[in-house]
Amino acid sequence: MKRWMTVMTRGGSVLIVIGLALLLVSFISSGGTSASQGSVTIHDRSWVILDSIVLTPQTDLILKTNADARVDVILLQIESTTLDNWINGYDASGDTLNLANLQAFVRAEPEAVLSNRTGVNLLYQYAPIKVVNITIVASNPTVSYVTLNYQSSILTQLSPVAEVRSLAEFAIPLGLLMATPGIAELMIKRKDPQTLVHNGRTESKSDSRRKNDNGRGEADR
Amino acid sequence: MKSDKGRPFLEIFGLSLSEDYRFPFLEIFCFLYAIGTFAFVSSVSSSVVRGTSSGETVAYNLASLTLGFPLFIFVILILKNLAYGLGSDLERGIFQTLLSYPARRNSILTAKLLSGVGFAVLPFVGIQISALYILAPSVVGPNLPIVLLAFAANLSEPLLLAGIVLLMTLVIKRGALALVTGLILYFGVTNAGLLALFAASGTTPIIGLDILSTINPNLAASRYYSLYSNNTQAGTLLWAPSFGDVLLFLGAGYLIVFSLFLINYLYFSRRFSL
Repeated sequence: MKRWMTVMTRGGSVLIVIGLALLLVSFISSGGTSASQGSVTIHDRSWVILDSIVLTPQTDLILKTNADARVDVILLQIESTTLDNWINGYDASGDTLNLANLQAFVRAEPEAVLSNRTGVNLLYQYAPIKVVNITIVASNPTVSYVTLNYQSSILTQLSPVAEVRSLAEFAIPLGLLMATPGIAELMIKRKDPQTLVHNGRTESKSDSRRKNDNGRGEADR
Repeated sequence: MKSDKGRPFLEIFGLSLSEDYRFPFLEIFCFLYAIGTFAFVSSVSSSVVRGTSSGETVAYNLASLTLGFPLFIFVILILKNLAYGLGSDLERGIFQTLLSYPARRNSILTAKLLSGVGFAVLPFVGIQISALYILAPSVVGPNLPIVLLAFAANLSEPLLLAGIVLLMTLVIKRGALALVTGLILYFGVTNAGLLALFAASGTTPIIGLDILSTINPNLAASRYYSLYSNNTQAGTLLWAPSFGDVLLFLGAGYLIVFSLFLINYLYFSRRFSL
C-alpha cells in the first residue's frame, strides 16, 4: 500500500473511533439526577423564587409545575441575588415581592429572561449551551391565593449532547470516506494475494509479470 | 543531483511509526483519550465552574481534571513505545539493522524518539484541547495560555520518566524491566506529590516540596491556583508559590528533561554497543 494511502486509512480509522467514542459519550448519562420539589402558596399579585441553580452544557433542566390557578413561570439567566439587589434598589418601600417590581425588572432587563410561560400545568426542558446561572421565578397575576407544586430535576450528561453528537456525525462519515480505499485494497489483497492494485485497476501478478516481460522484450529489441 | 541525506532518517522514522502504532494501537489509545476526558470531567466540572473563581483558575482546574486518566494512558503509550518497543528491538536484533543504515546514531535515536514520544503527544494534546473546548468554550477560549500551561506542567513528569526509561532500556537492554520501573516511578512520584500537597496544608515544615515541584511542576501550579481561587493570604502559609515560582519550576523541570535526553544522546552516540 502506498504511504499516503496508509496515512489516509489510519487517519480515517482514528476519526471513526473518535466519532464512536463521542457517540458513546453522548448516549451515556452520568446518572447524576438531582431533583428538588416543593409546594408554595403565592399571594395575590406577588412572586416567589422557586429555585436558583447553575447549569452547564452537560446538564439539562426539567421543570414541572402544577397550580390550582393560572401562574407565570419565568426562567431568568441571572443569580437570585442579582434579582433581589435590583428590586431592593428599585423599590425602597419594602414590599419587594410585589408583582409590579418583577414586571419592572423584566421590562428593564429583557435579555435576562430565558423563557416566560403562563398556565396551570407547565413543563420546561432547557439544555444550555454555556454555563449559566438560572433563577426560576413564579408569579401570581390573579387577585387570589394560588398554590403551586413544582419539581425541578437536573439531568447530568457526560458531555454536551448536541455538540458531541454533531461532531460524531461529522467525524464518522469522514473517517469512513478516508479509510474505505485503503480497506478495499487490503480486502482485495487478502482475497487474492496474487492481485496488485494499480491506479484503481486490479490485475493479477501473472498479468503484471507478463506486461513487464513484454516491456523488457521490446526494450531488448 | 538530489540529496538523499534525509532518506535513511525518514525510513527509520517510518519503520518506527508503523511498529509503535500498529493497528489497532493508535485507534485504541485515541478512543481512550476521548472517552477518558469526558468520563472523568463530567462529575466535577459543574462544581469547578460554579462559584466565584476567576476564569484562569477555572481553566486550569478544568484542564487538570481532564488530564487525569488520559495522562495515565499517555504514560502507558510512551512507556510501551520506549521500553517495550525499543527493548524488543534490541533483544530481537532489529536495532543492529537500524545501525547499519547510512545515518548517524543521533538521527536514529531522534527518529525513534519522534515516533515514540513526539507523535504520541499529537493525538493526546489535540483530543484533549478539542474536548475541553467542547466542554467549556467560554472558559477555554479566552484562557488558552493557562490551559497550555496546565498541559506543560502535567507533561513534564511523563517526559522525565520517558528519559529515565529510555536510558534504562539502552543501558540494561531489557524492555520489560524498564517498563515496570517506569510505571513504579510514575506512581511513586504522583503519590509523593499528593502526600506532600496534603502535608503542605498542615503546619509542619515541608522538606522537599520544591524538589518535587521541579520534577512535577503541576504540584506548584495546582497549589498556586488553589490558593488563588480561595483568596488565601500567602503569608500565613508554609508553602505558597507565586505565579513566577510556578514558571520557574516549569522551566527547571524542562531543563532537567532536556538534560536527561542529552545524556541519552551522548550515551547512545558514544557508549552504546550491542
